[in-house]
Amino acid sequence: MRDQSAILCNQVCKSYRARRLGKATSVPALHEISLEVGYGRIVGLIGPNGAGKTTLMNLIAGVLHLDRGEISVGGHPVGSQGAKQSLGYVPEYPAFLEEYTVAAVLNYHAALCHLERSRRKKRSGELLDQFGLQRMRTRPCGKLSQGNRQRLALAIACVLQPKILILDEPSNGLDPVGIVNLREIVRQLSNQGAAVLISSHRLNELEKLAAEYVGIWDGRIVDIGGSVRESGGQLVKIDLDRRPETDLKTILSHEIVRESGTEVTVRIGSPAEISSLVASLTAKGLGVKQIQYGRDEESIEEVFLRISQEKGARE
Amino acid sequence: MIGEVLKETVMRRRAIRRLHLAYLAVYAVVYISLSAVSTSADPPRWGLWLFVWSGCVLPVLLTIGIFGGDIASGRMMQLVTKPIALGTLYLFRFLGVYLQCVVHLSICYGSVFIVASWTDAQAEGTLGPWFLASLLISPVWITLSATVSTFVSRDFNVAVVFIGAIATFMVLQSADILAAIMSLPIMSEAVTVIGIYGMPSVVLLCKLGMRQCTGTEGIVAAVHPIVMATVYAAIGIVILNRREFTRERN
Repeated sequence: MRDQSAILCNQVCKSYRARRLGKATSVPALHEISLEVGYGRIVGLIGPNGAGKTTLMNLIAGVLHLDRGEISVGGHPVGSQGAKQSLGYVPEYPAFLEEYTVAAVLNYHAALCHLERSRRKKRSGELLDQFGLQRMRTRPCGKLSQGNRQRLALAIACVLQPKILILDEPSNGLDPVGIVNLREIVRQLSNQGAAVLISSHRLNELEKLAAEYVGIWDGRIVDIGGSVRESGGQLVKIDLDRRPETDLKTILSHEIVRESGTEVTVRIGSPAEISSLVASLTAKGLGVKQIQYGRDEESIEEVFLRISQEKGARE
Repeated sequence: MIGEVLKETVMRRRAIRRLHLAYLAVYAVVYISLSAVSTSADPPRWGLWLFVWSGCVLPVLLTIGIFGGDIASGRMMQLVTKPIALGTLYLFRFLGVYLQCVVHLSICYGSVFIVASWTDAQAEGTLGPWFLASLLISPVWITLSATVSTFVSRDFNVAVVFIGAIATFMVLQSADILAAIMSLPIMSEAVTVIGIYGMPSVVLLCKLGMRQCTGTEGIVAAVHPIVMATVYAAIGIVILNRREFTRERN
């Protein structure tokens, strides 16, 4: 199963029709997007508001129609019954029949997925347990909190134990427990071989989940380096015994990444340089209390800000 | 699956259950009031009244936002990703609303028939055709309103159908008057044909209810609403399959 692509987008283009000054115009939303997501992978979709993330997810889910290009979902053309059988989708703003109870909504969606009556009840029970909704099974959906609505949407998406999961801002409105729960569920599904495409503005959360990222800015895929986290170099964080009186730049020949109080973070080429670094500091009378050494990892948030700045500068 | 979708057509809004009850209550009040002032109930008029209110108005009201509501709220975005064809969903929802209409009409006509039987022995012969006409006209209005709901936002399909029906009636009447003034019999004939065959089968079924149909006319009156409902449903299914679903922002 892992050999085949779960989601394959090839040169996908999408425009929206809009009216500007009374004239019908076509507003491009996605330009020739190509993307591949393998089974068992969790891919984070990042980009600013209006970049086209939701449009791409809606196209993969079959909610919108393509202008040009191809999308295959689980080896089936998008929108086909085969694609729908393997797909679970959580939209940005999930909506339910407000008068239905949580259990009834799950039962309804299980019925739409062609589950037999006996299997339906069992599956609904499993999902209520899995998503922590058992206590509110008899509550009407209209009276659910935002977080519980999100849990219910996830439960609905998982009715058929999907091999492909599309999650558009799934942590919207979730409390910390809900977020941890979501993370565990997504990891569990991924470990079972499911491909997960997830978009979120909570980049710290996304970082804990996704192993790969795809950036979309202005409807185009942006190269975020593939290996986002390993941007090269290594960092040494040094805790000094006192605040330096002279400018550290005059003492150290290395690049100073951050400086705050008695803490200074320096970029080095190799671990061997740490001893010369300490020697330079002690020569100026500065004592070293603690040294932390690690790879220079650029967080996804830093990547996001960097790309946004680059884009802004170019414009 | 069909059971769940049928149930959904009744349960999707509390207003639908209330509407049924309100209808029955209004009928009861009107019947009791009229029976008090009149010595006998008038089954033919009751038949016409039930035909208009339960056969034409109720089906439209029952389809309030049947697809438009789902589309505007974003529910359709979830439904469309489920392995159910949209055409099937349309047909099951139609069936759900139609079954409600059948039950409602049976209760209404049955009640009137029982009460009228005590006072008027002719009730059986006069109510039967109206009951049949009501059963035949309901699917036409259901499919028309449901199809309008596939492209008209939220719950406005009901308003569009009612306003559209009134406007069409007025246009046809005006055209007929104009044809008479201008002495254009062909135009007048064309207007009549459009009014009878191009619109929901109200004229044909009224004749059926009033027992004014010949054998052939009776067959036409029975077939026409089926054809109209099929055409409206086909248009609705095509629109559903072609359109995109995005949530409307409040």
